[in-house]
Amino acid sequence: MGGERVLVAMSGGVDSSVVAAMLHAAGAEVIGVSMRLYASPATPGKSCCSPDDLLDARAVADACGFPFYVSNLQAEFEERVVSYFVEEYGRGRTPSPCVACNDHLKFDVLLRRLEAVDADALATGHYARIEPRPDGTLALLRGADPAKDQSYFLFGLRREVLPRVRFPLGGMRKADVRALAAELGVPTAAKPESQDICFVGKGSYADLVASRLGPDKVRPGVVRRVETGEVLGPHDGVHRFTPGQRRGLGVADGEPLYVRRVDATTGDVWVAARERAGSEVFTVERVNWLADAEPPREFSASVQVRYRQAALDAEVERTGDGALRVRLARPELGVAPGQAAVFYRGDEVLGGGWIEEVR
Amino acid sequence: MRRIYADHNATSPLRGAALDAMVAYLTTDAGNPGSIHAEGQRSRAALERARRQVLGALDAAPRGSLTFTSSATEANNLAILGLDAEGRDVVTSRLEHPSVIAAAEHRAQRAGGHVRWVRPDAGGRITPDALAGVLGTGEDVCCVAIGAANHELGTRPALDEIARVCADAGVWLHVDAAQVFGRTPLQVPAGVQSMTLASHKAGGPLGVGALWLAADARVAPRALGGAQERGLRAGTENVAAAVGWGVIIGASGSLDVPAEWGALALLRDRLEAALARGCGAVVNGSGDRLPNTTNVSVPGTEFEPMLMALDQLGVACSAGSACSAGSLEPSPVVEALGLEPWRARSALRFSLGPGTTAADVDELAARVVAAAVRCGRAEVA
Repeated sequence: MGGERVLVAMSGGVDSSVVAAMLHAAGAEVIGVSMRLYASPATPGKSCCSPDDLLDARAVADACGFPFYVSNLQAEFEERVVSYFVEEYGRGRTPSPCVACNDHLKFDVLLRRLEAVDADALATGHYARIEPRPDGTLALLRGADPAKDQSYFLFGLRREVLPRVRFPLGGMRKADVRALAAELGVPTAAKPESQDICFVGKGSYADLVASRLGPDKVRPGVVRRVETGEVLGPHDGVHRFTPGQRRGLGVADGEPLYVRRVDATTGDVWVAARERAGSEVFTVERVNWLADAEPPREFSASVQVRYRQAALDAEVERTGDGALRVRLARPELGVAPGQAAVFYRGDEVLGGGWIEEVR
Repeated sequence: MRRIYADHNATSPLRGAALDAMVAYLTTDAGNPGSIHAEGQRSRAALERARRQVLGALDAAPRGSLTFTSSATEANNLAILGLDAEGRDVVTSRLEHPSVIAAAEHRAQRAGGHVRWVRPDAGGRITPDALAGVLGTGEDVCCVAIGAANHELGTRPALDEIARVCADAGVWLHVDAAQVFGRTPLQVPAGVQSMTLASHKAGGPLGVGALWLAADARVAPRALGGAQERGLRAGTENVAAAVGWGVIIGASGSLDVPAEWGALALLRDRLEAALARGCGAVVNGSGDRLPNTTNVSVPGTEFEPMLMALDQLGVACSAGSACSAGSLEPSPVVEALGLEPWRARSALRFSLGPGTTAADVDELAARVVAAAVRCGRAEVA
């Protein structure tokens, strides 16, 4: 990446700061860009892309001496990420806002900025790798640090953009990144990790969803047992539940209960004992393939249905119209409509899509 | 690469004469104008000299006083939030600077009233008729706030007629002249109660502005805790900045507008012609305009990538007001003209200044065309 001209997406956190500083130190022509995603001053702290975070990113740019811009993507973020997030919960589904942000903002809007600034590539602080296969085509791989791997959030990258994307941290461990930050004198070296969903802030995600949906669209109902159909109690809204959830159900029945299914049409939240709460079969739609070739009609793969969860053995069948039918080797808790299902072969991301129907 | 600075409406570089005059008051001759000792009195004298120089450069029919502030924004706030006129609504337009609009909204809210918006014509101007229509009898209206020239388009309303409408209705007229003072002749017609002036848009230093008040106009202070500026603005005066401003303004004389600013109209027209030829750019705003300002929409582009591309190509320009913290919204001023949406999304402001040459303008146009090719391609892809 020595002589390249690289646009670096900078959140103000340690990871993307290190990316910018290390590329600059390696002789790349770095141009920093931060996304402004929500209005100040309502923005809560401890996230990414808040006004304070933008100042941190600017401080890195100033220290290194490369140009830095702020891209105002508030409208796109509101439409593509926040509204989507709220509406999915309103429909009883479990959204994946980080995937939406990657697909529609970082690897769409920011990629389209490359031409404007005459840059060769877009670099981000994601923990994932892009490496050539023997035939020269590029593969998306898990990050080398298993605790930080973010490839799950990146399945939506289109194959044709991979040559213009750089993940310089993909081969590193978080501890190495922190050490490198200190070594490079990155001003944000000691900054704490950003966690949770960046736009939710201090309150709970459920409160945000409820206030955004408004009383008309919040769907209250009852919690029922899968095994008996028995009503265990009322609840304030289906948006408070996600498959696999055990805490905060607001009901008790003498043993630990898990959410099996959320039905926004009836308002029913179905719960079950652990052995009855898992799912084995589900469909996946809006699939993006990153693999070198279109997969056969039926194939075996490992599939990940949540971030930071072990990949599961599965048999996959292509059902035409681009959709997939997935059968897990054994039932799994927390397979949720609206989440991403990402298929792997070893460390390689074969592709992924969105979980629709779960049985 | 040689950089081309075409953002004088954001700020214009300090003139050498101003800097020369300022240095002593920051170093050897420093003193607090409120102190009784010789150093303080020397600073006080310099401050009052600067006040006379700035006042002397205003062609004001009514007698008035001048209050130094830290900026034109502060002066707009002081007038709109501090005036003690009766009435609850504020009349202004979507063309105005954010410091006018935000203050108007705040005042109306505080008084339980509304902001009444005067619609500009398609050329970017508030007409006396449109104002009179919104103003009605003037009852329930505490003030009218209008720019003497628009910061993004450069368009200038017929100020004397605007003032007559306000005087007839007996309503306070506040004029934001931040982009005009020191650049083109600025008359203060009878009927104007308050007027905002800026220093750094015309070669003076940053950190000083002023509120001109007609002799019978009264405002309440916003900053408390000192008797400076006759109690209207607490806080140690920025003596050096006032001195620098006074020197620049004093040298230009009351009606003798700096020739460089006036001559910029030719270069601006040359730029507009080159941009129309090169990338089909369309000018926003028409009629009487500041000589240095043009606002154009470039078909097939979005302003944000264009600004990045132009900065990389060595051009400093802007879209919208610089007062939105480096992060950009489509220009509310161009949106207010009621044109097709692409006009605001692709609008860029170029504001020239003393030292801009014909060669600069030609090179500027070439770089804008190059940026438009890059960004146009990117948007299609």
